[in-house]
Amino acid sequence: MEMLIGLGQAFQDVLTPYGLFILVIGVFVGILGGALPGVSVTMTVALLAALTYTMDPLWAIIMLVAAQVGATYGGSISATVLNIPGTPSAVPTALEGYQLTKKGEGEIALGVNVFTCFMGNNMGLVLLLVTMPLFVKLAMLFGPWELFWFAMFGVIICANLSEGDTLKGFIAGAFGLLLGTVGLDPIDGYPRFSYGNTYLMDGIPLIPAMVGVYGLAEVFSSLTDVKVSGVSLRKTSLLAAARLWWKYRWLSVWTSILGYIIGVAPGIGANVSCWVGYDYAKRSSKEPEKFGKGSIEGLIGAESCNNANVPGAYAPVLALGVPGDAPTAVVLGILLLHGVQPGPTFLITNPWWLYKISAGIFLSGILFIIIGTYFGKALVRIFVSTPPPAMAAIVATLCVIGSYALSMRIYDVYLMFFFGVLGLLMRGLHFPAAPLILGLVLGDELVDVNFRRALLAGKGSIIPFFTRRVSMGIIVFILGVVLWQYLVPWFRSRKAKIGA
Amino acid sequence: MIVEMKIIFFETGSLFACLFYLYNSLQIPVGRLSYPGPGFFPIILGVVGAIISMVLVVNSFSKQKKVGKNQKNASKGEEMEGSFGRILGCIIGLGFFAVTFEAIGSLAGIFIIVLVLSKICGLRGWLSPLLLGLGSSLFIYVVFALWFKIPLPAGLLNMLL
Repeated sequence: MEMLIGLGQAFQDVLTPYGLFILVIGVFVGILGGALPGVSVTMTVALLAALTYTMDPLWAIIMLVAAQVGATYGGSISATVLNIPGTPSAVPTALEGYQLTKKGEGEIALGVNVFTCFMGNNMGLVLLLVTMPLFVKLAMLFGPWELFWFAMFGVIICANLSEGDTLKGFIAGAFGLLLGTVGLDPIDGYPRFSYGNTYLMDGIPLIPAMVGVYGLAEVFSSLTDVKVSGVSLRKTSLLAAARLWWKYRWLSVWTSILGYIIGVAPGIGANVSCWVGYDYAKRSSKEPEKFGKGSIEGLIGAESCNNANVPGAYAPVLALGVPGDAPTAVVLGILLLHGVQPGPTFLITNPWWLYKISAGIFLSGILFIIIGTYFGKALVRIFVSTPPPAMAAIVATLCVIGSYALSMRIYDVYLMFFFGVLGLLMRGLHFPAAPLILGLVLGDELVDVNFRRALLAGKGSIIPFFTRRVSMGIIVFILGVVLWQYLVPWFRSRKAKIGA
Repeated sequence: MIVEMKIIFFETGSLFACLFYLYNSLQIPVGRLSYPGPGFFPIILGVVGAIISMVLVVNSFSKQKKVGKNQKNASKGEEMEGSFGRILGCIIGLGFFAVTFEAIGSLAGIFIIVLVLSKICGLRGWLSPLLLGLGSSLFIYVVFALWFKIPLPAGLLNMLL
């Protein structure tokens, strides 16, 4: 009851002309930032944060929340239309959404995206309000052992996702992990594989690598694909997209729950949750053969998980002062800048923060449905009416600008080239590129650091990796996923044989 | 057949890359189990990567005879080779753009590269490439430089003003 009164008051406070203005600016800049190749969710939130220094802290946070929600959705636009995931979490969306766009179903993909993002966002929000105290307690049980296993779970998903040869998926993932270890060691500060190069000491930046593997490789690939001459567009409405979502509503519900749980766990974030959602969708699908060729289920699984992750990431920030992911780390920085210190007692003395942020997240969802529907449709129309050579030229240029804009270093552009050529080779030789990127994301911060921290904390013993309760739970979950992958087809074929 | 050979080359290359990585990992302090050093995890990773690459190479060699008759893959490989000139032109054009981008500046540089790339990619006529170059240049400048305040290089424009 207290929560309902608090929420009612929060909506009343936020639904003012000033509040709506703040939300519209946040969502619009977020969608634009997320949709632009090279401008990530974190970058958008960080850039917008500069405008919030003089604002009231609560309004500042609401604007940044709106930008994060908008950018998380916006990343799916460029992924679907241009095959350039603006953020690591939009990679699975690119895998399916771009295939749909190539078939002339780009508008349907965008419609499903916008509706799924909205629903995922809201389901995450409901879970945030209802289960926050419980999950924060669970997140506190995550030590380096559990974080290591969670990252390993991501690596196993890599292999699960690769079409055909699972080993090719593993080697691509291993290469990503290898590249992730380049740069200064995060624990001892020892330079690894940088050979005295100051640029490499910072590690391999993710955005240029992603832009190269997906954007530039796509440009090169389109130059080899002589058959692509133009795309016809099947029109759709938001209602039709909503009907499609309804068809897969349970998938959306389950992946939203998974996304929220991952959001609550500190340091994991949307980069992992999107793959968990995508993998869940693939494993539970009756048409797994459609994955990688334009699967609506793949889109719904990835985007529900991805968007439910956003409200989840705010739980540890508000309750513990620990950011759930990189954009919430920026938000936490702004809170501290304003002299607001979240912690275990923060929500007890300031409960309205949770309610007002929740109101901000919900209203941002409504706004991105309105803005995103028309903005996304306009973008997809421009895309399909532009001749492919012109599109290739624009995307190639955006790849260069997007890589450069990240930190104004020309080396980022050279790196993007390297990954572009590597992506083209991998594509031509049927090696999946997604595990490479996932390995690069997980390599340094999650796998290496937590593996070593766990050994340090265990005084050299590997036993806690297998005996801690949460670790055991994750191991059982990993085994379940692996066995599911092989046992379900075996059971199906056995059933078919018996039926025949 | 061509694609299979390329796959074997690629996998052999990845095996050598893993061995090179492993060799370099051994030069980094490994530490001990109770205090693992910065080289600890890379050694494990290098060994795992080398084993997977080796299995892949062996698998591909054994598969080579069977896939030799697969005409579909061969035609894809030939199709890729057919447009090699375009890809090379695109890489050279973009490479030149990347090297001279800071000197020429974003406005002029984007205009030129979009014009050149659209011709390399096969856009017909001159009016469309010119308009495309101009539009892209202005759009990128307005969004990235004016809106997001990303300091794109001014280059020639800086010298003129």
